[in-house]
Amino acid sequence: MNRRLSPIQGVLVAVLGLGGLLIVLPFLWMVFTAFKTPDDAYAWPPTLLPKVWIAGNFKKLFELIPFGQMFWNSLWTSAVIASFNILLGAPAAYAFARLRFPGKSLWFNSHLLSMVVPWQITLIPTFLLVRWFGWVDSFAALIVPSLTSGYAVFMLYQFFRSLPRSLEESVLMDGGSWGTALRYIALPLSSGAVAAVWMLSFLGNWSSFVWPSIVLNSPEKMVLPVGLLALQNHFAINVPVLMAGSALAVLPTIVAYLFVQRYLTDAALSSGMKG
Amino acid sequence: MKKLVTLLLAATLGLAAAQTTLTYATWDATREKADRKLIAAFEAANPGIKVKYNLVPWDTYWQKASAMVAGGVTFDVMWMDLDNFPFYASQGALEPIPLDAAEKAKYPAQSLAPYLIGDGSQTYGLPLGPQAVCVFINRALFKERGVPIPTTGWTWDQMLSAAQKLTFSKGGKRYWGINGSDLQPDLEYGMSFYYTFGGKGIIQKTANGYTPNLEATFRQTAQRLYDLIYKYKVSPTANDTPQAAYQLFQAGQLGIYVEGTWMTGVWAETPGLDWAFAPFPTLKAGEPPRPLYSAHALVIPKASKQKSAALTFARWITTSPQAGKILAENGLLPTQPDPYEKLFLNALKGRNGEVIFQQLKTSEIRFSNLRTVSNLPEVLNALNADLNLAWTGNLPLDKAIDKANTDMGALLKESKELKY
Repeated sequence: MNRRLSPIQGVLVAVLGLGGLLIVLPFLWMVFTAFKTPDDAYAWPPTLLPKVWIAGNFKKLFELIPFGQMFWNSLWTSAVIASFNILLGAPAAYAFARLRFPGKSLWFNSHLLSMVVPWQITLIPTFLLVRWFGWVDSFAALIVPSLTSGYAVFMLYQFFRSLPRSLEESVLMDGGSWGTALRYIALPLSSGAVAAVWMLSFLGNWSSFVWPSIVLNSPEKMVLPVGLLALQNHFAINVPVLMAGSALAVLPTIVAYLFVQRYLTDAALSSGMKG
Repeated sequence: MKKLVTLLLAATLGLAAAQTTLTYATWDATREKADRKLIAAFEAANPGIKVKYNLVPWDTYWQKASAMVAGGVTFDVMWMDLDNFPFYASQGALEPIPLDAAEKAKYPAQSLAPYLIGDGSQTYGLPLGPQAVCVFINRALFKERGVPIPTTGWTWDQMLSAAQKLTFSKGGKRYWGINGSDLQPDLEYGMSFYYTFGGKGIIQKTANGYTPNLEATFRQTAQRLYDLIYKYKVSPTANDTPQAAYQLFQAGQLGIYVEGTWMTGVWAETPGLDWAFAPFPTLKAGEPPRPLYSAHALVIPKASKQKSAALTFARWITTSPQAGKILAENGLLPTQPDPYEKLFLNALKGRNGEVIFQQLKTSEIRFSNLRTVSNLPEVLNALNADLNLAWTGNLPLDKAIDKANTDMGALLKESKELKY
């Protein structure tokens, strides 16, 4: 096998390498800043590596906010919401993709509408609803309004529509129900799409800020994005401590990505559409 | 046995009934430690009341406050600033606070006045300690450059000369004299110079309403502050560095930093920083400086379910000697600072904190007399946007002030007297 690159390939590798470096650099900056003293972090012109490596910012992070508790709160609520988005979104999307029923177009468009209405418009009505249920400052307030997602329904609908009907028809002809077809044919073939939607939903909730900051008050129930912002006061931010928190906060997203990476990259292969 | 269980149950229920839990919200993370000490001391002094501390970052504090007020579920005691107070007071979202003459006397009249409504008989906020605009210096840089440490009677010309000497390059790093980019005269830092140089207020009341008052003192002050950046080049611009001025000060690359007393907690993060307060500069030695201070207050939202306990807590924090002592020991100014001067100075030993007490005697609260101008935020936004054109080098200063005069005038014509 000839391992030599052609000049064009060499240029491409160089360009892609540079692009990759540009993407990785902010992450490296975040990690290195987490080990700097404030005067080192704020010096201008800046340096990438710390003059003196210190781990004190991580200690201070845990002193300033209940980081562990906030991390856990973000983790499990995001996982629950993402999972419910799939659990409730997949049957709805499948029904929209395959069934005919009265008002189908109205129902489907209402899902699309939920994607285009700015969240600022629904903020206070949703808050009033949550308050009416007596859920303010509870995890129910955080989770329940996000259990369903118009976005998840739309994404899965698009994918289910692209599946060949013949596979499901064979299940139906053998006496199976639409539910069986969804469970044993559509969902397994859509593992890439399901993984992508789960991942996007998880990331969206992991970084969710405004809604938790409004409905949650107690520090023991607070989620990470709001907690990290509490590290800054009105006039100043302790950047090295914030970077320490941010560096730890990206870990679950990297781990989650590693878990679903296979499904994402194999999506086309597992859809049953390969030539 | 039955009797014992009944007694225990009754005792438990009785305790539960006697226990009130308050929610207290602030945006100021710099005083979190002090706030937690205050709460512990208050709970010890008031065994029937528990206080739950809520630190809400400034950016979301007002979003959360408006949603909570609209939803009828609020914190029981909240921090309030004077820019947002008119909105909440005029919406009827705040509970009037009963204060008789003796209780009113416990508060500095100047700080309490903006929170008095109508004829002054109704109080809607209990002022916290003053948060004063002040001057910090990096003593190590002053010594290194052979600049005398400022003493009482420091003048503008001396400050400018110091800033020029403190602007230099060494070892591949640039050092700057002063944070001129933060000193736009519509903001409290720049406006502190305007008042100190004889300004009477940028909006004046006339028989027909309000008009802008960007007169000679305003223009001269703006020019002096502007020249720090564009004529003398002793201040960094956004093109020089993306770092905020407080970060440069912490990095030891800024000699004079005009900000507020609340930054002392931030300086504690950099133990090697040799900082001190400096007297606020005046045009002539011996003139009293008139820098601004913020008078935030504790308010009790109308929707609070624990109004009585909330009032007890708000009063205790703002007037009790115990609270004053705790705040001063943590380097913070209590509502009535003077009795706690020694404790405050001791907490910030060697930082020349005496100048803060000196300047407070002649300090002003920004726009405290304009709180009933219905569109004050829009008017101030217009002024800010226009002056920002000059400060960022996009419009000559005189033209920016002319534009501000026109824009403010048009908006003030539409303003109405805000009714509470």
